[in-house]
Amino acid sequence: MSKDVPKTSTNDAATGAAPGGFGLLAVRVALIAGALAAIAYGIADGEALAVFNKGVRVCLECIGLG
Amino acid sequence: MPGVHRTRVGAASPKQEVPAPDERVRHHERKRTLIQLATAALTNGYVIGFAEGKVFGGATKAACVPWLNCYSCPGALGSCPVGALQTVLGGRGRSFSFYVLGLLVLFGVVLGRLVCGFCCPFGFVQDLLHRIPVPKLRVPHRLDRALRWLKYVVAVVLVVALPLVAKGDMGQAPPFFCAYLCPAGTLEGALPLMVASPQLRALVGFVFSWKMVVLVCVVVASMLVRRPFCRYLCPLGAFYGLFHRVSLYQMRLDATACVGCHRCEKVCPMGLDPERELNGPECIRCGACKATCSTTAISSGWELRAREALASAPAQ
Repeated sequence: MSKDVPKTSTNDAATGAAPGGFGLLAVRVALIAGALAAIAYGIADGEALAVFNKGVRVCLECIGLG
Repeated sequence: MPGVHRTRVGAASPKQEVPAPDERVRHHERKRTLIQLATAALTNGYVIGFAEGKVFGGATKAACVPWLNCYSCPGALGSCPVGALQTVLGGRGRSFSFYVLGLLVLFGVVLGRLVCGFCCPFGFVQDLLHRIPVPKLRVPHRLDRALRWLKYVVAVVLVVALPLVAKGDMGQAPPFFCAYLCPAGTLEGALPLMVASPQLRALVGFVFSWKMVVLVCVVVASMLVRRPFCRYLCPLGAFYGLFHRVSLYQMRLDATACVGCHRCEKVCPMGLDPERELNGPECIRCGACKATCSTTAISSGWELRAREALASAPAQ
């Protein structure tokens, strides 16, 4: 290796790879659960309807006319 | 045997014949192109919209697709998450979007930047444009690294901050990213609608001209540099990059099998050095490095918990 930076390995946190084991599983499960809860709350709060109302009309700003 | 060479493939199969790296890359790129094409077609399948110059009005428009796909594209069956986020943040009486951010976090954890590598229609367009045989440009390393921060600025300023603070008298803000920067909106939304609708053509003004300039710049840049919009401007890629440590789809490098040939670095569409930056926030998990690796030191796959399980699995 000509570079002095170590190669990525399977458990090398310095290069972006996450450590294995229960901690990673817990983070993933927590994020997915939190995301699902946020989606459900957002739908109940009418956000999905706002997205729908925007999506079913031609967005003039998006096409450079707004 | 033409196109095939002998190489050591891990400890378990020392003399297994595998296709030569160039052939593997071509095969992988064909497969990836098919997936990109299928994704673009499936999520933009409202063909009538292209003919009649109108957008799809079905219930699926309430959901966001995981990639950048303008919801004003006549064929779009779902909404663009970046546009949807700006719509909610810039809406009357709202300052946070649980729904869109929840979807983005879900996509980020489950798919991460695999979306960019395999699904995004605008990424696909950039990949196609780069195949046009014109001289290619190598962005100087320091400039390249500095410009990559731009997409985070775009995400924070245009997608989040301005829709929140620049609300007008009606309590609403325009989607600034869509309105002034997004070339995907111009390509997928504006141009097909303009072709089909004379009424819309009559409304063309300065902002449209500006967006055309942006699109032309991105198109020309895509011919010269691989994935310039993904590297430097895409706010969705910036967001998904934040999940690079936890996303379920991970690339892996067996450092003991790597011979340091740097083939992977030469084929990386994001201009990364996979030996150091595999799985980083810039890695779009396209698998080009894995396909070209002569020792199959690079592998990839889905994982929920134990990375060791993947490490012991044979390269795909």
